[in-house]
Amino acid sequence: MTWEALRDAVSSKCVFRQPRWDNALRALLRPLVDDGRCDPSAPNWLTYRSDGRRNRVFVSENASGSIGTAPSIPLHRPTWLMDPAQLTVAVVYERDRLIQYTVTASGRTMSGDAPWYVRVELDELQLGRGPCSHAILHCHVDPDGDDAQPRVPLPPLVPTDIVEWMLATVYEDLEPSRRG
Amino acid sequence: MTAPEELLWKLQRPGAAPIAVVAYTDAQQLQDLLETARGLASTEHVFMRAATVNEALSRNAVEAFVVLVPENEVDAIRELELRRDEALERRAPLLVCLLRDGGGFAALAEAFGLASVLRGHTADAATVDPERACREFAERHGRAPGDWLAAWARGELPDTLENNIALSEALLLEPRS
Repeated sequence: MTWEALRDAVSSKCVFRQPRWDNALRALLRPLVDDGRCDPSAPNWLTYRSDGRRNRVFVSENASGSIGTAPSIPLHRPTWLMDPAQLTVAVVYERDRLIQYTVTASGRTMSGDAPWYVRVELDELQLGRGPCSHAILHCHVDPDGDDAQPRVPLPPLVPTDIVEWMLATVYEDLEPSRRG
Repeated sequence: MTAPEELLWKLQRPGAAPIAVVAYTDAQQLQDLLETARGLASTEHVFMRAATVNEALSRNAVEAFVVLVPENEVDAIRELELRRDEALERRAPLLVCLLRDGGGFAALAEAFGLASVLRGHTADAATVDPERACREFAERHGRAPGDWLAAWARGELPDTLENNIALSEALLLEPRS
């Protein structure tokens, strides 16, 4: 029952009005631009498209970074990772409902030059074998799309929460409890 | 609002009012819009980008397809309101690009004469042209968005970052009720 309850809690969290996710995400990038940790163009790389009902925000191909073949935003001077780390995001939503999102950060560790990767996904529908092994909101820690890789279940969180978490993970000073 | 491609087609029909407005959100959309306008401009017109109404309405621009990206949106809309007869006498399209929710649109709400000319002649660069977008998706991913979504739901596609980004695109292009 835990896993069905978690799925229902995540689904409930998705039903709310957020007029423009691109603006909410840009607000998280602006302090990084001001600190010189992000390219001044980075907020403009977040692109918005709409069919009038359904909306999509994604990082455009103009972005200067990449994770694999996906365009991404370089994050300079990370605390624990080699410079730069990378961040990418894609969100699909309607006026009153978050449909699907993916937020990914990647880099290489300073200590051992090992790959470092986190990818959070909200699925539109229940995929896989069920809500325990494949929670609708989950985190990958391996870029491989192999089904053998675990999906770590997450509590109800929206894209801005996840970006905030990833930035606080990449930058020690962005931990919310350490800010004034 | 319509997609810019549709508006550009409408703008170049014989007898159409030669002025239109397109809303854009960011530099990427403006660049895409300029490329689209350049690509869709009739070959009988020279393509020209202007930053002021004076440039856009200058004598040597009268037969050019002018895209006006104003340096000062509010001043540009106020001036266009005063000089709208000149704008309507042009023999080639004048496309005005304004930031969505910016000062230019606020000024347009008060420019009643210009607003009446622009009725039905506004577009949003963020609006997807579905046919073109679906065609481009199929070229990149080897199947139409609906087929791609069906394959994803059956678990036939690997759960990679690239496929999750393709998923977000397919979900926009093929929304289910």
